[in-house]
Amino acid sequence: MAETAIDRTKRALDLIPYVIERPGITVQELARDFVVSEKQIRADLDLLFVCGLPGYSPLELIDISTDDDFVDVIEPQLLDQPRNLTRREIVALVIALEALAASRNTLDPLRATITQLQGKLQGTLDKPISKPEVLNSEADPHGVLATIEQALAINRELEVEYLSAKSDNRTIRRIAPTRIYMQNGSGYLHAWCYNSIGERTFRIDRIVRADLLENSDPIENRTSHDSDAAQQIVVGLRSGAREFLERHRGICTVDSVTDDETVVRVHVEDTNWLLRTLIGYGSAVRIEKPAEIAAELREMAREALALYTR
Amino acid sequence: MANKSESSAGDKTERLINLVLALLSAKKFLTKSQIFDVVKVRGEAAYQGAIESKDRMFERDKDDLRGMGIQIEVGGLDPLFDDEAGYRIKESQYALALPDLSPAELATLSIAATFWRDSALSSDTQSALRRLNSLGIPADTTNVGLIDLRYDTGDQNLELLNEAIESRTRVSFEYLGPRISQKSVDPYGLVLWNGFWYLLGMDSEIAEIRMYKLARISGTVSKSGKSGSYEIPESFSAANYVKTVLNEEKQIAKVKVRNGTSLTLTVQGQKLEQHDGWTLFEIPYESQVSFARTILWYGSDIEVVAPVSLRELLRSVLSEVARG
Repeated sequence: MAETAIDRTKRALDLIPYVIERPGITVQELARDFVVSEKQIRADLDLLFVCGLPGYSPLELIDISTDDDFVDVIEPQLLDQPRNLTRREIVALVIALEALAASRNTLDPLRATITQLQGKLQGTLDKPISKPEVLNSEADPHGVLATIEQALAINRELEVEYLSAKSDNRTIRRIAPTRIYMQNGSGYLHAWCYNSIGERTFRIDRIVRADLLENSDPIENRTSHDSDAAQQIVVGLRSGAREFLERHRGICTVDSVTDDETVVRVHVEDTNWLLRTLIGYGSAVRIEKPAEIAAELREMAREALALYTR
Repeated sequence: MANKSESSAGDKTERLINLVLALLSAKKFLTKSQIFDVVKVRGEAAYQGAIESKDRMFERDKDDLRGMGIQIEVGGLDPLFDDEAGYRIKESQYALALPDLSPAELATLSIAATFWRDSALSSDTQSALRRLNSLGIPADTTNVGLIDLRYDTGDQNLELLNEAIESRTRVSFEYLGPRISQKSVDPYGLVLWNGFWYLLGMDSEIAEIRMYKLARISGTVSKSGKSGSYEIPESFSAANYVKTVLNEEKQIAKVKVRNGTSLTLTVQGQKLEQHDGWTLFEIPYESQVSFARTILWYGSDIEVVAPVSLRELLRSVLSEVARG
């Protein structure tokens, strides 16, 4: 898509204060930060070079130097300040902050920062924006997220107490966190787990306690003992099971869609997890293959059914 | 031809920048004729042609600048001489100003911005962040990049719907309910609940407030009415509406749990009594369907004793699955 003069004007105006803040930044770095080509950045700088105040004498023009690709603003004229935020940008930031707030425990100090920021952003507008509302944020009920972030930031290990739904037990584990992500309102921590000797993903709402470990020796050789290989299970989902696809899109490949059924291939290592999840959708789910997994699901249902037919 | 349009796009950029600079440097309001006089692009008048076409060009430029967040003040009418309006840009209104923005707040904005990553608003938030990062506030990048916010919701619709709510504009969309149907809705509010975004609004066909999951809106929402075509009752709160719906359904289940199992569920409940390797718990729940799903996860480690309706639901689901 061809760029409009408006997009280019915005970038040109924004380049000046950005460079002033970072004297000697290179054309390459500017291209990376503004997500355009180096050629485009050079063209933008050339363009700014011929702009200026009415009169347009050398003293009234913008002056930028680009020696060996190092950029400096010598005379910004009146464009040394960054351009104000637009209403659209403020709306986008306020909504994003709301989504971030939803991932935090109500006692988390970040909540206060978020509320304050939203106030500051809204304060720049004449008319307040209607922002979406957020209900029950239970991504971090035990308030462990701030500690995990701290561990990641200073590169330390953690001791966590974890309730596993999969193996249905409470374990104390030593882990080296690698990354956090929020997927549809639930928080996940990806970490190396010394107890399982492998990489594991933990649901943050099931970590009931997290403590920073002092001076933990990082273990160099992290060779996973995992032997589980990913499997493909073909599953038919009727409209009652649509939520399965909405929640687990990342592990599903849609094969076919008809009026009453969507057939997906689910990529999992842990078939026990899949069966326990699928049984919740009852007859809205049909395991097409492999047949032994379908049989396992029936057997699981039979065992539980026995409790209700005694 | 391609060359010509390219160079005119470059011309327009130069014209806009020089217009901004002229209006910023103006001590007094500049009238249109003064602007046409002084604003130049590479030595030539930036606004050329007949007066009507200059006027049109200038009006478009003004709109474009306002769209960039640049406020152009109108004023300076001198009733004794002529009635021509003047224009200027105040430096204080041109510049981004968020009072006392701290490094930690700036970092928080960077994290929050990951929310829009794959959407049309991504370029807006990234541009906003670059300007916020030009304010001379030292960066606190301690936590930046550690967290990703991911929502599978059609975020483009989120923005469209938020805009429709602000402008009170009716929208229509195709919705995957029990079957696919076309909805026409006066949007009232948006709620993020349990990991998903929902729209609340007045369904224009049945004239009742309904809740729609954004993930089930297929394709893009389109505006189907004029702005300001309805009112949202002042007392309406999307969050309260959802809470009311949920509270009406709030119930307590009695479940028998095999000792030492179902830990993630039983932490939420109250222990009653214990015998024969089983413990009786009372556990609160909101939606019968999603609670049943949680119970089913634990297979033969949990038996629901009450309410009977939930027990019956589980029995029928299990017998269906057992039959295969």
